[in-house]
Amino acid sequence: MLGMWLLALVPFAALLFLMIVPKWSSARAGAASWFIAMIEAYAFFGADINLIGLANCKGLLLGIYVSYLIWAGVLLYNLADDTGAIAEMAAGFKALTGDDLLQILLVGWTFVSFLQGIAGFGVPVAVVGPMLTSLGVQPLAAASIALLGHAWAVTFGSMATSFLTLVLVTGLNPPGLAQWSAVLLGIACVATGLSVSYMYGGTKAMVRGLPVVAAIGGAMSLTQYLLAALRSYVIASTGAGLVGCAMIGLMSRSPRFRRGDGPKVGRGRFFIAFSPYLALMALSVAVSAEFVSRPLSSAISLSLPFPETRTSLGWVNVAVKSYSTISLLTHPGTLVLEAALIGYLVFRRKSMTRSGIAGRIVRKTASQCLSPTIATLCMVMTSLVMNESGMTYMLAQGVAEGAGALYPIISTFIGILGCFATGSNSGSNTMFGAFQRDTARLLGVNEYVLCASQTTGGALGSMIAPAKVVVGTSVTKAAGREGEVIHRNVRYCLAIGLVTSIAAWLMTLALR
Amino acid sequence: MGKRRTGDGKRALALSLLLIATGPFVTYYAIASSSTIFIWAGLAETAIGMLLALLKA
Repeated sequence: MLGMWLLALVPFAALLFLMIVPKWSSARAGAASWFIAMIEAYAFFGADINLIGLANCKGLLLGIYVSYLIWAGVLLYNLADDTGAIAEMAAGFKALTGDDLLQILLVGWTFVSFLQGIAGFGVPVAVVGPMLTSLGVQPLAAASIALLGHAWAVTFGSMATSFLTLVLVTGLNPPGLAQWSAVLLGIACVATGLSVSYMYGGTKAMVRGLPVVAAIGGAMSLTQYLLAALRSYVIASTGAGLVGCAMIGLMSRSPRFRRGDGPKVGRGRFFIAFSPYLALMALSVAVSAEFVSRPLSSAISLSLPFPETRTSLGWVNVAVKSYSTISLLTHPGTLVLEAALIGYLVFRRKSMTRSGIAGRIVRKTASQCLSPTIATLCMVMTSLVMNESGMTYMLAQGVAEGAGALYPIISTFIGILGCFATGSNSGSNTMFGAFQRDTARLLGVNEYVLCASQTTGGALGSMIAPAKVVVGTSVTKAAGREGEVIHRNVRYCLAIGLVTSIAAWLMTLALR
Repeated sequence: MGKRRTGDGKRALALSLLLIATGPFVTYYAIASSSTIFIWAGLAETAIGMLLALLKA
């Protein structure tokens, strides 16, 4: 059993090792771990050639979903960069407050969380990464902060898809699950705010930002909790992010956070520069309405049916009628492309575009996205081969058996593992939601708390999930340096995970 | 963005992407039509794409 567990660990361990130690690009490390996963699945985990082939195809479908967003996000960034809109936005943020830490918290913590609420699926990272670089943050740090700052808002973000997935797979009562999740995610909210401050300016910035983070984090956590308690799951993150942005807006008026000394930017110019992002927000809100999304979702979509597959060790992947449906008209990538088109029209009307801009940014985007796309496909296909051959589940099961009564402390890390493997909180909840519920029942601890801990881990895992990290590095001129971003973020992810898991453990003790 | 690539390097990566993005579909339709030889062909195509990524990315 231990031998199999260690074998199951090898592809993940190799991926991390190759990206962090010899600093291989994620495409190269992903390809290497794919070969390892393929050989292990076939030789040790009883996967036949059909299972492996279908797992690769499922991985490809998921990879196409993410890659489309990467291409659209980079195109939008190149448009904003080429027209000078990024520089205008940076000047606007700097004019709002002269306090650099408050600027970073506004963009990299509250605004990115608000975006996670309305868009999700990597869009917040794709939008906020370039904004942070325009504020003078180094590309690697910008990618790290964008990933870190939005993580706490993922479960109730993108219209609460991750939370609703957890409800579906566990069958637990939604209000109870929502409240426990909101408590743990609230702790994560404050912790990510402090981490963003620390990542930006070390201990000094964290201490300086402590009162602001405590006040805003407390308000955002409370807002999310209240909205979750009122069963308004789909707007819980959005509302919390809005409250955070509004509080920073109010704080910037106080003498302590004096206005910027730099050149003043008229509101008109700021909003023109911001227009594609405003359009993106409007489009995201529009497609979240069911009467808009339903007809659009079914209009043009790409999905494939998959038959049941099983390994010779007894692991079963149930048949699915349509796997990873890509609805072209409501896909986040399409929304970003539409926003880019609106931005292009606005910029052209305001004479911000130079001749040949369309060809230039398309060529630049294609050149920049080649490697990140390969990286995404390699890593997602590796994950799917592992998932479908039962390797990922075996990893989690081994950890659970080893932890015994201390399992609640481990539960968050199972969620993190799931997100790392699948690239999303929803994927993590799908994979491990029922497993956490059953383990809780077996151990006689509160199942709501453990499932809340699962989704909190799934949310936190977003800051290190390779598929999301690639989005961050692609838009901050740090492509190919995903290993360094993961290396930076993993300590924050584990530290915050430890805090929330200890909180979950204490809750289970109190509720015995 | 990332390391600078030569034209040949970019072409190799483009070929790698093409193979990785089409190989699994070949396998999928081969499984659907029970064509063992095409299942292996699709997997080999994917593996060659991965090998190119390993060597050139």
